[in-house]
Amino acid sequence: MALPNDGFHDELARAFAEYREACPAPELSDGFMPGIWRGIEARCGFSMTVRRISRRFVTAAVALCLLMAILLTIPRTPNAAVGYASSTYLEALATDHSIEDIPITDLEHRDGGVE
Amino acid sequence: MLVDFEIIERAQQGDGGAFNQMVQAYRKRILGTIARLIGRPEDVEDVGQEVFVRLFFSLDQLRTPEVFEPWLYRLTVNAAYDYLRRQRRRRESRMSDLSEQQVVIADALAGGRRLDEEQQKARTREFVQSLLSSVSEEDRILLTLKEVEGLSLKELEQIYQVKENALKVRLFRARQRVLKAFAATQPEAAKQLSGDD
Repeated sequence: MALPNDGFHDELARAFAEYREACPAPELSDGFMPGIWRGIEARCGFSMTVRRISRRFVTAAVALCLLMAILLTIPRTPNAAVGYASSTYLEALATDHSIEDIPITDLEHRDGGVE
Repeated sequence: MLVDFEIIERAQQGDGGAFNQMVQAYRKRILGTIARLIGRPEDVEDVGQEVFVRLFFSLDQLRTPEVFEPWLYRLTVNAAYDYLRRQRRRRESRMSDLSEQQVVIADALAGGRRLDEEQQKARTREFVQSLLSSVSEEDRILLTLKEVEGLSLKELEQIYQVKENALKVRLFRARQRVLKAFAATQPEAAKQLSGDD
């Protein structure tokens, strides 16, 4: 297809120039500025909500991490700490099942069983 | 510049009053540009509000007040582009679908016949908008900024942030596409053109 010639260029330039003159200046309504601020507040509201939710989520996550760290570092009972952490298996066994604690009847039963 | 740098800087720091001053200073110009870019007077105000809302939220990204105007134009172009894209379905009329009346208008424009002034203005608007709707939104906006708004290549460079040569190529191609559509509206001239070949 042939490209348009110079005559068309001039015509088009003239049409564009006339178009600029033909477009009326837009009338500004009284609601223009309030509309802008409504738009700003609406977007602020949305972004603030997202920010608030994410901040709460982060706070909750940090609190949970701290709680878990505390639970893991602090021993459950002092005895357990002494019994399981600082003594050998045999010592721990001896502490838990000392011969004095076993009832006499139980000892008799055990002796009988052995014989 | 329609506002002092100081006002822009104050608005950047969150001063609502300074922002209002900026809007007051630029709204007429921006709304005029939008009107010519989108060609629908009833939607100009909505698009204008969108531009200034975007301006409010992106003011902190403006590094120097010196580049404020091309930057505001870029926001305007982007908002107009988004609007035109949303309206694309309505605006898919091709030059081959132009009404008989539009062809008459084109003929009248070419022949320089005298029409009633207001009537002629309305027809010119309709005709140029029809022409512009026959090309892509990118071409339409670029041509409007160059040919209708009268922006220089330097200003367009700042708005589009591309090199002058690339811009010239884009402009040339856009102009060719509109010229083809324009030629299609003028059967007499088209005949002459084919006769020349």
